[in-house]
Amino acid sequence: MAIDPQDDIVQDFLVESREILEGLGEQLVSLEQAPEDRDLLNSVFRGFHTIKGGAGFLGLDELVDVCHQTEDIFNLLRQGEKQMSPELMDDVLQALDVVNGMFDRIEDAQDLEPAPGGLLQALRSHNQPDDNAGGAATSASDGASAGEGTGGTTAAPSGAAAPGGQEAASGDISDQEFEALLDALDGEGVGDGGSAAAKDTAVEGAGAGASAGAGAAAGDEITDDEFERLLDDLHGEGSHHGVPSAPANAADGQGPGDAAAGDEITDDEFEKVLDQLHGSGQGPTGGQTDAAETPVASGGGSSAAREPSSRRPEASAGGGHQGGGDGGAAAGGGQHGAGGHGHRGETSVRVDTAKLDDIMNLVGELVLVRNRLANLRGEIGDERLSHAVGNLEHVTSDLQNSVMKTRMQPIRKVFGRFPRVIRDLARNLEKEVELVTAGEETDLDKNLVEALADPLVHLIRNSVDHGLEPPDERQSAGKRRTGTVRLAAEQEGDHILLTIADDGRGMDPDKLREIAVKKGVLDAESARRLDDSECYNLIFAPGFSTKEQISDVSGRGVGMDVVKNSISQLNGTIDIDSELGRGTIIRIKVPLTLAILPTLMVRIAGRKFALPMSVVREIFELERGRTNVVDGRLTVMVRHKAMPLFFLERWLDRMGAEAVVPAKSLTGEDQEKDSQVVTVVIGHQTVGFVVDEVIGLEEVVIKPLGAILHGLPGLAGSTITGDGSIALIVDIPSLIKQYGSRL
Amino acid sequence: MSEQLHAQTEAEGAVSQWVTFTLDDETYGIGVMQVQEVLPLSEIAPVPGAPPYVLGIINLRGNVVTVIDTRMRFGLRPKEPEDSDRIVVMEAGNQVAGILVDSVAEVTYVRDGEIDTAPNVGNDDASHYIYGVVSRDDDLLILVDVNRLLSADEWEEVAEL
Repeated sequence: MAIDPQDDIVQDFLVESREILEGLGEQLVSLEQAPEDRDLLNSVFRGFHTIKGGAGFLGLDELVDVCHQTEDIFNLLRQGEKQMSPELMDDVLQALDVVNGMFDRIEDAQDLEPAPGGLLQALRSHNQPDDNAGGAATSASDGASAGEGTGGTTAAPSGAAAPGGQEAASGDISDQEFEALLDALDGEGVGDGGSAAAKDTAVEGAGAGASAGAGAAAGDEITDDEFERLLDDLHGEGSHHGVPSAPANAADGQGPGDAAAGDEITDDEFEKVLDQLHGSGQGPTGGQTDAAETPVASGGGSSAAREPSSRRPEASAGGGHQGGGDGGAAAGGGQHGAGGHGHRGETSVRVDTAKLDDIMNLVGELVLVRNRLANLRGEIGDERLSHAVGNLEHVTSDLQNSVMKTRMQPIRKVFGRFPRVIRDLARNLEKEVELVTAGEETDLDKNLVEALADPLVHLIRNSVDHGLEPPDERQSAGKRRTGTVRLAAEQEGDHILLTIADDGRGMDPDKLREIAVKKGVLDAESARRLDDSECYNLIFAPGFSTKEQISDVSGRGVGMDVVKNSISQLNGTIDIDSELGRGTIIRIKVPLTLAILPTLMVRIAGRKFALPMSVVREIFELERGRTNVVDGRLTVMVRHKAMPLFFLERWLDRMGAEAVVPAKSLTGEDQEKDSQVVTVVIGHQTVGFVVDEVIGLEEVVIKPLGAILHGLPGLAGSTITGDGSIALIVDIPSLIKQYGSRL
Repeated sequence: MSEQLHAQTEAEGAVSQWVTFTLDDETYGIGVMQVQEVLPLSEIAPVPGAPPYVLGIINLRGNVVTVIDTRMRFGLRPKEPEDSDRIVVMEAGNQVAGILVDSVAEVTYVRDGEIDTAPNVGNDDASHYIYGVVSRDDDLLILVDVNRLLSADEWEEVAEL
């Protein structure tokens, strides 16, 4: 059964996991560069582990499976029992994709599908130590999974974690001491369990620690309540037993031989073990029995926490010391979690963007009230009043800016996914690619960040696929084998400028002309008349694809015009420049925010309309005598080019019941009026809109139209002007598309 | 009062509150929980290309609200706007919309037992939006189903008729 994505717990899980997944993508790619980086390995391990924990809690078994396998691989990696390989990375990245896909399904309230069998198989095959790392079973997970199903040993790690967690909660140990403890444990190679849990809160931390000890799953199967009970049971009995007995007792259950055997446990068996663990942890009685059997181990945990230095010789004395050691580490994890939690404090809150929109709305209203007051100030002319209104103006502007900033996000969120994209592409296409990014800190509107992601991915793909040459070709051309793709963002006034530059083969304008003619985008004559820069922009024309062969990476021929459309929808522009043999550069300009739109206010038939400034080019008076009728449409000559004119009035005439559509041609009455023409650019075309009056530039806050009016052709929304009245924002491309022939 | 209501509840089912408004000579009611506010007639900006039952949009403290022509919906003859006209802003589902009415009268209590089904005369599509009628003395109160009134699908169906 699908779970409800609207549920609060599920929501939290989704948000948190999405953040982790985003980070994982980056971390995995950097890990390939630095496979020995323990911090990275640990944090990847933690990431999968945390997701698995949440998924287990929500009963998403399919998700647990994948995460579990992946997490185990990283457990081996971080303990140095396995070496990173590109094949392994491929499978892990694929697993990440599968996990991402599952989250999509959860968000759509769909049932999960199990991960592809092939992937699980591949992960499983990776999930054993490399040969040279077999030896003595020293890993925490080995040790614990060797504890096969005896209730005693299963409870041991979790029991050990328990008092640790509680002590941490009561704040017995300071952070410094704890750091020292962690260091000491790390020396033994088991501290990872602790650091894995370090970020979690007290109970979760203890749980995570316990599970790290117990072969990485037991803790997840125990609910918080059960765990609390277990804690209570164990705390009194277990926490003060002596250290020496810990290794001895632990050795009973898990000698090195057992530990080695543990590697061969099949999944089924392991599941069974998990079930048993779960069962034994459930009731208070079960908990107590476990506690009775294992006080020693938990004692080991807490005393390890207190006397880390003395723990080491003891531990190394016993053959099966790992159980106790794990306990210590797990306890440490619990402690650290609690300590860290208490000290760090919350510096940020999650806020629904709808609430921010509300605030934004209200601020907009405040600005209107301020404007009215400012008008009154002029009329009344009282000095004290004008002083107060002046103050109000400052405060409202600051408020507006602050609210705007709450919606801003660094573009790093988008850039962060590109190392992965580039890596996959480079491997697929057998090219050597280096990605250089700059300006990741540039802030822009949250909606824009999201909306830019897909177009940018597409452009980056194009750069790598079409732009960069294969290494051999580069070498023979006297270039570095490794191609560079440079992705940069910077703020330019009220715009953000994004550039994607490659040092690849560049584009050949003549070839572009040829293709355009062949594909029927242009006729030969107009193609010949294009200058080079116009040729480069041909690739944004619909149906234009330069690659002879269609690859699965890019080149389906739908790409670039879709990119251009999505950028236009953001009121942005895209421009391309290229130099044959040297590379191509694509520049995207988007406004800082989507919430505020610079528009040109015009009056048509007594009503105000806003034309987005991004398409407006110029304004001039319509002069009679300079117009001609071409193909039934009135046109005007502008700099020796004929420009078609559209009459917005005719669009409005259709509104009311009394609408009498005037004759197509310009009547005498029309000619007598003083009209102005606003020139706008749609794609490659320039057209003129005839309006009664141009009022001026105004930055407006876009207000969406309600559900009933949503998606009306020609309208992008509405806005409230300085005097409180409503102006409609015209969506020029869709207006022309819908009404073009009748305007 | 509440005890009295309670007693009535026992006798004739639950009691609901309705905001009544008039159009021509008829009195209509909409559920009080769905009424957000009542506004004096302000400038309604027409929207080119909008369906005919949409009068236009108004500025409600920074939010744009669509105003529906209730007269057209209920099959009444159109009339010039007057100062006494009111816009009732309603909420249904996730959307907010206004209806233009002649006047808003009062909030009245209606017991479930009082509500009769609307007389369904042939293929009168207006009856889609009528939840029921309440007859009191000589007056008839027509209860309107706001959810249906605002649902775009219903409107589209009507437009096709």
